[in-house]
Amino acid sequence: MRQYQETYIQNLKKIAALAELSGDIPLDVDRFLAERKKKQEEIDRLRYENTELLRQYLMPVLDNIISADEAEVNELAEFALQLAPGVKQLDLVLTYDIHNALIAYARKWELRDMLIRELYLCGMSLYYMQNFMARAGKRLYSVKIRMLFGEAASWLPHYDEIADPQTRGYIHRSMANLTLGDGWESEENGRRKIRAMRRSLQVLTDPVYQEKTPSLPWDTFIYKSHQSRMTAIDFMRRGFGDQDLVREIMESAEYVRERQLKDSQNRGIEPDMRWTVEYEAVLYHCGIRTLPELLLGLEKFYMKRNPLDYSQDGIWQNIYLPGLYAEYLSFEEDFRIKKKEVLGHMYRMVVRYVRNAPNNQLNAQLLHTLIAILESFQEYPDGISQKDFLLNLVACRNPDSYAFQYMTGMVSGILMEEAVRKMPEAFVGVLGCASREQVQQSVGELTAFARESGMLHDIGAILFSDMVTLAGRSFMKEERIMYAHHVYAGRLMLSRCDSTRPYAMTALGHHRYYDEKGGYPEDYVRSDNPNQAVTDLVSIAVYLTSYVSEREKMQNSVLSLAQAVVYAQRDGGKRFHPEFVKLLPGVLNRLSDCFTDGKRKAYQKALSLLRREEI
Amino acid sequence: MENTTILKEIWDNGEMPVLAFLRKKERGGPAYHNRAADALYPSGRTDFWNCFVYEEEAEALRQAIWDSQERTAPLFCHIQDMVYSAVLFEQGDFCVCMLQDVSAYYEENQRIMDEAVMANQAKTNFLSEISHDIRTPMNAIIGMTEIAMMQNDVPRRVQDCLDKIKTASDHMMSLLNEVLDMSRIESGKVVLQPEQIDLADLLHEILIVVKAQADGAQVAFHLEIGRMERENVWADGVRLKQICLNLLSNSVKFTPKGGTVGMFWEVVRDADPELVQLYVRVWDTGMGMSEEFLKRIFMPFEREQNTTISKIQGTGLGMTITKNLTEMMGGRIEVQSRQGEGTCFEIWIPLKAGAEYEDARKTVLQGRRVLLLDGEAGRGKNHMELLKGLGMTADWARSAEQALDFIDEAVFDVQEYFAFLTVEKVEGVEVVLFLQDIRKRFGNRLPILLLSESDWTQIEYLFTSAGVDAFVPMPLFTNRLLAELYMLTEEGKQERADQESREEYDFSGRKILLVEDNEINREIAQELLGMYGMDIETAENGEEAVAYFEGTQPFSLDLILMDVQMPVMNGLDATRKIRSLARSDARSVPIVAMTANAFMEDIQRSLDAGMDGHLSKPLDMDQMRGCLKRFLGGKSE
Repeated sequence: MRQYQETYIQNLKKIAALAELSGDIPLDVDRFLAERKKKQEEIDRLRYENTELLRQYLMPVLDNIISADEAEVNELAEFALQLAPGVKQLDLVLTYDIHNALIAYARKWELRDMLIRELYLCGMSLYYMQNFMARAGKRLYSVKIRMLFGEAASWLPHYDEIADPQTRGYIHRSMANLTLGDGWESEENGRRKIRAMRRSLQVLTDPVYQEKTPSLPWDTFIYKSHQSRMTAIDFMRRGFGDQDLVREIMESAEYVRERQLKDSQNRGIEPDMRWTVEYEAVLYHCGIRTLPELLLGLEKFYMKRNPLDYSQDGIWQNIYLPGLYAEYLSFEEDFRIKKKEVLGHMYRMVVRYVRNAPNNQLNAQLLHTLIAILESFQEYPDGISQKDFLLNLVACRNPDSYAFQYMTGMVSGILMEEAVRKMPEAFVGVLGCASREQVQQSVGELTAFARESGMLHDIGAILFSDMVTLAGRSFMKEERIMYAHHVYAGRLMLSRCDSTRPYAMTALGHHRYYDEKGGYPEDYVRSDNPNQAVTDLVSIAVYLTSYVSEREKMQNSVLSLAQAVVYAQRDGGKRFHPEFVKLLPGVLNRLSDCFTDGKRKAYQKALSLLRREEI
Repeated sequence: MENTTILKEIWDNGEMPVLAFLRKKERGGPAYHNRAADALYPSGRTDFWNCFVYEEEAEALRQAIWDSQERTAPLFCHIQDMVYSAVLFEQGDFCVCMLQDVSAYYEENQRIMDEAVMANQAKTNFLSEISHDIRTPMNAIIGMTEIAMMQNDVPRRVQDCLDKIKTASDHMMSLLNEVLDMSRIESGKVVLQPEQIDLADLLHEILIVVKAQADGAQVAFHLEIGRMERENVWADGVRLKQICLNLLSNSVKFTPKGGTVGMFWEVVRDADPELVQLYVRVWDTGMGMSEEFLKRIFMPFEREQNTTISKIQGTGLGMTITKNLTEMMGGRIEVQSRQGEGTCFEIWIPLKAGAEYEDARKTVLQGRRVLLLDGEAGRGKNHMELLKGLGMTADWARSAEQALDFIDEAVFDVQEYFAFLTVEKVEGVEVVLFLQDIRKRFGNRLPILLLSESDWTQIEYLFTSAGVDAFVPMPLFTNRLLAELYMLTEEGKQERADQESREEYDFSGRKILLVEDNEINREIAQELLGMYGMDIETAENGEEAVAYFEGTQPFSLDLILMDVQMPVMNGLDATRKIRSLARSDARSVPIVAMTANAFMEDIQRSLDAGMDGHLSKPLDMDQMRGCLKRFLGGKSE
């Protein structure tokens, strides 16, 4: 690798270390903020250095990749590999860009082996990028992923002409990954996935290929393919299963189970609980176990957990398993009610487990597993609500994001009080208020609603926080597009439960312009939002908080409150509600107080929530 | 008093409403009505017929009075809150109508009927749910049995048991599917989903199933195809297949070993030019049906009662489902049968016609030379006729050796074949191995088409590995064969590749300036842009670009693609310069940056310099298309 490439990777690792928040919960907020500021300044310096390195050395090469010399190209390929060591991704979008450039090079100079390798690696990078998007329920790159793997796999008929075993391996892997980017959501996609898996397994188990390239890890290929085929239970969950599929899934499940048992016997350990649970789920979906049997099985697995185990497995057993249990409860209302006490207990244990986490309250895996549990969260009238769970247990685990939302909530509350006072008619219809008078009488509830809307508006961003905190350089266009999907993630998360559903449209629409001619997402339609006036208020609060509290430092300059208010008023009728921006001068002092010590208060609140015993 | 006077007295003062209508008079109001009938008129209404709650009941009564329409069912009349039963009798020129209050009886009946409907609905729902729930574990039983059967060294006795479990569970599964289907039809959950389908594909899929069934039952299967006025039609393919398969499976099931099942299939024009009529006849030499059972054959759960039939498994729902589906499609079904002499079902279904044959495609294939390998005389002859009908020159090899002779001769004469068509089974040769050799020898020069009756998804891997390029289902239909052969021509390949581009991205006549210092990059960009038929001018740096722009007529340039890093003058400076020129299109001509640098602040810088967009390098087709569409606005005028 070239010097700039090595420096770039070292800087990425330094940034990751500086951004890491795990450790004891800090007691002194001022010290915490001072340390964070110092670290952030160092992160900013490293990011700047990295951006300049790429701008100066990499971009010119990518600009003219076709005429790059062989040594340069080889170093580039090595650089891309180092940027994505195994499943760990240091710089996803850059890795993709480099592989993409190398494909153009290989194609132009007809370097077949290199082309096949780069198609595969590029497909994998894109797949990881798509995984980010999947958090928002979106699959932006499916077609492209299929095209990349498809092109690599289409070299199969020329297998004999290819001497390099590694290249042959890339062909097999590409074939196995052909539909990796597709989900099980639609019948068409699902059937396509199953066909592709079937064909790939046919080739992998074909003795002719195994004899031709004995050095390839055939066992691993076949094992992974069976693991992958087990995921087809997602397809069955959607009611698309048939006889052939059941047989194939069962075959794969038995294969994986046998291998797991053999491995665990050889190593003298218990079989991996995750695959054992998956096996049980397969039995249920294939009609061998009943739902009560599966639930009982899951309960037994849950009871085997160690509540003091904070390893990867421990987090899975203590947090993920209750989420899975809740998902199966949602299959039948009857069981959802019958098992209320069991699930309630599990949720309480999750809270206790998270609260007692030693030294890793801010562990990223803990946070992501907590978010995963929300995908199937079940609310009961007298149980824990998703709103409380989110506000008091989850959001605070990312203090930066929490502080931003907290401040946005405060600003939204101030704006709401003022708006109800001066223009109550704007809120007729919100929270069931039928008249100006009712709006005025409900000022307390409306203010609390606005505050909570502000507190939850950016909850989707928590899923994309790695993109921001671990970013080792300036954002690129693709990253901006990816990050913009946090609004969909927020809507998805909030729309699942009764307690959070009223906030979902604000999560979706807070970056969309009032006149619907700018901002994002384009499919947010203001008139579809029953609480559009609240979203309009939160949009202004988001804008002010972003610019005044230095949140947007990475892409924008920081403004004074007065400047921000002037700009907001200038954008009235276009980006913001024309009447609401007129309220800003009237609350300037209150906003100023909020911004003066609001950030400190917000962090203090986040840290105190991390320390609390109950929610 | 005279009798009539007494009668009138009774009627006038009786409690039952009595009305008399003059039959000669054209459907008017009553010529007479008694006091009790006065109460029928709500205030403000004078026309008797307007007093009815339901107009259809009024019309039924009018028809009974004036058209003397005979009715077996009682005539109910809802008038105000009451329900009356009308009793009619003739009296000279009059028709006398007595209205008997049956409100209590009617309501009771209605309640019973509602309960019955609800009970029936509950039954339907129950059947639907229970069938669905049983199907899931049944899938597991069948799946696990199949896995067990695939294991090596299974004791013979166990193998035997597994075979029986498989047979029984397959049967149970088909019963469940029928019950589920029926309940779905009854509850209105089945909605037809018409789409354009190829009847060749549909027939092929039907044959795959029915041939296997006929083979299993040792019954001969005979297919006859009549006129095919249209091969593409609009229909719900899944349901149409179900109709045909139900009839065919039924025939196979009730035809003893050694018998014959046949199908005739025809598509003819309809009086309505937009429609065609699909006519299917399914016949067998089986045991036939009694006259009495023929009357009930389409009723649910009906089965012929005799000792032979009771051994044959079935729910008695198949024919009901078939009739329902046929009628849902606007068609009709008829059956003829005699005990011991077989059965014949006929269906007629009107379908919306799809696209016509494409003569342009035929023209491209005219005179092209193909080689057909098919060892079966009758079928081969038909295939040759079809190929000749497409204007192609075809040689027919009955064996692999003969095919090699034809191929060698063609090579020696330097008149190679355009394509090689083969069936999947030819006596004396393993076709898969033979095709591998052909592929090795000719590479991609000789496309291979497989004509097959098999399920392509099951043999696809085997045959594509052997080098097959395309598959055509048998029986061969003109449209399908034409389409596949055309796709092997240069025109077809181009059409497939450019379909999207031609539809949406035709930019011919547009002029574009490409500013790029690197020669190879320039060449690639030109290659990509060339596909859209536009005029491309090039410049090697920003200074040249500005000079070129200044030298053109205003608005003659549609787009400038500008590299950012260039010697002499970079793209940003060149853009600023162009934007500052004093000519009418200086600010409006779209300028798009081409660079691998996608940092947001650099993109912002290019926008600040006056550029309108950004294309990432290396350039690719998708991006380029998107950019052209955005800035050139789709089709050129």
